[in-house]
Amino acid sequence: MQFSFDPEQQMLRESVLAMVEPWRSTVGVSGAGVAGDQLWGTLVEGGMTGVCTPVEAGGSGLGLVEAGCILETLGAILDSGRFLMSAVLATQLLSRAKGDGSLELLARLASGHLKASVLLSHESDGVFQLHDGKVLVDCGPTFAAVDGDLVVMVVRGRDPDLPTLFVYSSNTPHLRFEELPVPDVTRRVHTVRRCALPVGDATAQYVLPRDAALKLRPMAAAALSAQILGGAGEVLELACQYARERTQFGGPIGRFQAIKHLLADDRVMLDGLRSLTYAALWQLSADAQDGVATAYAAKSWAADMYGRVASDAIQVHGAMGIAAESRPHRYLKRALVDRVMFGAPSLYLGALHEFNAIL
Amino acid sequence: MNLSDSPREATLRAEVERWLLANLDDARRTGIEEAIVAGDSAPSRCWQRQLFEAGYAVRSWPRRYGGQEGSLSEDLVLFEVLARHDAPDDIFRVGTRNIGPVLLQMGSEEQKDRLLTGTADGSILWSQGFSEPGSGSDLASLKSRAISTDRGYVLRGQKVWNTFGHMADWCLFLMRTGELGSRHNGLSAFVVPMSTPGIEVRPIAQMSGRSDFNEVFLADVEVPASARVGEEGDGWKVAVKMLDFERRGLAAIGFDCLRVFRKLRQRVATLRCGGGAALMDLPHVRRRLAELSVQVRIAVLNNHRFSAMVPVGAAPGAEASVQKLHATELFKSLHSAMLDLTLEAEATGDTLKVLPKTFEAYLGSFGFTIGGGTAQIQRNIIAERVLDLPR
Repeated sequence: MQFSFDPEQQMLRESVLAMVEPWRSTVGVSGAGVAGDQLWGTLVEGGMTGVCTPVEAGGSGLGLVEAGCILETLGAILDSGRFLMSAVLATQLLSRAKGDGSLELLARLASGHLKASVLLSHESDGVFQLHDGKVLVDCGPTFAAVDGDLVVMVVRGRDPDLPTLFVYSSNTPHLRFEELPVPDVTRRVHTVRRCALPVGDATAQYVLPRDAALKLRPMAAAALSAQILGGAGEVLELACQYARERTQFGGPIGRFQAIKHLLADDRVMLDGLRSLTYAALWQLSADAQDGVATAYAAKSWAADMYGRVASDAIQVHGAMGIAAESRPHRYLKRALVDRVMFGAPSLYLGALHEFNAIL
Repeated sequence: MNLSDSPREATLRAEVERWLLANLDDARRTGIEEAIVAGDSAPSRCWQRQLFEAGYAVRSWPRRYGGQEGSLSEDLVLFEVLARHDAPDDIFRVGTRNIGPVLLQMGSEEQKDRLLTGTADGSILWSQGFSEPGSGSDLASLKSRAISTDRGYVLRGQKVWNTFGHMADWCLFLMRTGELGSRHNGLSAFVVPMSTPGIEVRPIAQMSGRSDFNEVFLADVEVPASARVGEEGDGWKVAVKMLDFERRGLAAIGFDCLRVFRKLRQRVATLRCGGGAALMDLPHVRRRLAELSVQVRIAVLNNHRFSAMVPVGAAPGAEASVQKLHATELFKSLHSAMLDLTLEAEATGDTLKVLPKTFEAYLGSFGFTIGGGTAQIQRNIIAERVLDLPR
């Protein structure tokens, strides 16, 4: 057992960090700018969008831990979530798809010219139902769908052992997105109106192995947790920076235990998320037994701790914390929505209760 | 990154599991536990001896002192399997996890040869003489003196909160050799047999009903110069290293959290509430268990992730405080849930029978967020040494 990054993984972490460094200081200053195409261009140029793509489709063929390293860094700068959806979730699903054209599609996703997002249903496994030749779309809020080109869904057919991966154009008729009026300007969030998409409208359909379909929700949960890990780590660092610099009563406020203990507790929570997230990513990649449970634990832990760390950071900033120009509130706004993204904590805790029999 | 067992670890895991099934049963567990409560270390010594002979007592130590030169991850495999099989409370941990590793690094050849193998095989039970009535969290203010003489040193003063001191054979005392007020610089460490004339031990009754801790009075205790660990004035270095190792040792309670959670789940599954419904079917009970399970997973994974940061033989850094703080707070929460849910259930013959031990375990769990540096001291360490906040 070696729960640490390999030298190659460490190198990847450092190179992504260097890549996004220019955006780091402008989080919240440039607002929506962070989500934009410039960052995407940098990631494409750096070969990051092909990290999870199989080698035969021209990618690097790396696993979810490597994806997590990138997601963590992107979470710190509040990116739009495009990478998570297209380069990680859609790419992982398509890598397991069987059928003509999947390799070409993967190559186009890796090149960054084509962008996909994945929808998860309300059901416990995130899979959609097929009825009367139509895919019944009923799902929670999502992101990176409208500015993408494709929408990917896992659909249960008549034979539950043969799930199908459906690929639609994101502007297919009958699919309606409605923007959720959230104050987070760094990422647009949309709800999807309940609808039925004719099977014939799909641009592609692939047979998906059952185990790949079962990993849909845990993978989404673990990937989002990695992004949250980065965001929570960054906002905690902002609070620490402020506590080191801001002076009151003749010295930095970080010397007071009221501040120290608050931030130390946040660090403990953050370290818990780090352990859960990377364990989940590794276990899902390795098809280890605990993967699903660890991923659900990560998401349910991430859901509440992100908001808490961000709130504490605002509190430590004092009145500056509620000023629009300061950065911590950007993370709080992201955290409030991430809490329910891909399902509320109760969904994950409920499922965990069943898994605990084998803990 | 690789979170599965290496072939070596997998072999060890299977071997220890087989060994435990053959050597440990409920009668043995109860026997050892009841003897500890009664102040009798003999059954624990016998158990430690068996662990030692099987090669499990001090896996990562050098062969010369009875170890296997195994990796830290093998130690973790051992801790995990022992916890999963509900192995008896390890009263030798002060020696095998704190004092032994420090002696390995800082002890004289004579001290190592004389003490280490016995520490591993159950013949030397250690206690630690740090805290004093006036010096708890502020350890560097301690006043008990070691006065240099032409034959060695004379130890004079009082120690308190010595774990298992009433059963111990040896103790590592932290004493003032410098001027009063010399703080960290004027301290030295000594290893001393508890049978030395002038040492008096008085057990302290705890709120849990047990007496695991003691006061130790030192009335002109004569020790040779060879009892000193390191140079005169090295005491603080010894203490800090030991506290670092202790944090790590206490952090192995991450696996104990897993043990308590499994018991909690088992117990709740048997409990019914007044109306006859199963406790496990109540939404608030399910939610509480699920939330605790998330934390238990963190505690177990933290053990693996934090141990990967430390090279073999080295003391863990300040990050160990993160692990210690999390696991000890969780340990309390788990025992608290055990008590709450047992009391919430309908009182039956079974619940009445387990209730005294449940109270004892919960009340006993408070010591974990106090010993080895309180939870508040851990937060200071995390803030100053991990988050780089000003002192």
